[in-house]
Amino acid sequence: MKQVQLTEDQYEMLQEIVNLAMGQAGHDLAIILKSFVDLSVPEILVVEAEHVADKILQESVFSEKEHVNLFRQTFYNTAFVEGEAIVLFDNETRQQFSEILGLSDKMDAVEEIDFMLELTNLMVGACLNNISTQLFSRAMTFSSPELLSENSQLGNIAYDIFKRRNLKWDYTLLSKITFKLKESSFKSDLLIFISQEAINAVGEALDKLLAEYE
Amino acid sequence: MLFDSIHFEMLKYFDIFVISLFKGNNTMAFSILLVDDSKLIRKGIAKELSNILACETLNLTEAVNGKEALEHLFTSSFDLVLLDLTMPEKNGYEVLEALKEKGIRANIIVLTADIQPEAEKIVKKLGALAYIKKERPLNMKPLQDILTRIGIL
Repeated sequence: MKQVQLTEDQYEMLQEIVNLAMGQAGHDLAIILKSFVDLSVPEILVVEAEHVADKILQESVFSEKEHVNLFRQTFYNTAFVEGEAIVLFDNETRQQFSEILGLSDKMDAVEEIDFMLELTNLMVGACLNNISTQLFSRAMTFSSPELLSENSQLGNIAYDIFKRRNLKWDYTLLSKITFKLKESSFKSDLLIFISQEAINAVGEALDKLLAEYE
Repeated sequence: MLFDSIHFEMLKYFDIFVISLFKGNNTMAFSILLVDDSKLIRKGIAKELSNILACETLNLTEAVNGKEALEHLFTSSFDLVLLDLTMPEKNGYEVLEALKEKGIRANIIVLTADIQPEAEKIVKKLGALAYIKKERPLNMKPLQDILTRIGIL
């Protein structure tokens, strides 16, 4: 199995790119939720398939015991970069949507799911399009977001989805971005998995951008 | 220190005075605290600053997070502070809040990827002179414009 890794400089460059992309997603989220979004430093790392579930549990804003709702959306661009994004919302966040949006009636379960699908589409779209434009000067194409799991304990679902035998790759480039609202307990994690085959293309694009700083 | 105790709101009425102060003292040292968790960004800004600032000596101090920035700001004075917002340890908002709480005035320009509509209002309310959106490739024009406006260039 060939070792896949980015250099320290490539990580630095990618960190800044994801930072700008997160800023765009935070902006879009702030507008739709009419709230101020607390942004924290994104986590970026190349992870071996064997360790993905553990890494997710380690990096997530949610604890292993918390019940979460997971949404999935795949993406690709014509520079042969492909991957998938998973967005997590906990049940407490889900129950607050009506209040955050200032709705007089509480959303029902179907409306909550629809709204989380909409937020997934917004966060994934803003982030990935921004990353793709910065790295490859082209936009991403996305699948429709889908509900992967509802009201599941994060520890159980992480090990279930990321079982080694379910994964077709040995390595992934994982970025984790957490969005929180200042005035409520809204919390969401955006996990971006770039495919193993695309890591080299990302590395080459990063090297070109790094040359700007020489 | 050239104008560390003068708030920007007052400073903007004294453009001519400040410009003449700088232009008449182009051999003096100019101190900047550059706060950003990205080594790459610090390197890029440092290179650009040394190109655009005409003063003889540029004393550049770097901090990699808000905690380090506050350690510098509590013990030293700087002519200018360039502050990122999204950082580990303490973020830029927390730096501005801590300075306001302690009554420490500094000429702070926020340089950030946090582009949500409220961000600019909040940092200015907390005492920042100006707010600049980060771009890639690094675009120094907005910073140059502000430095010109406050009489540094």
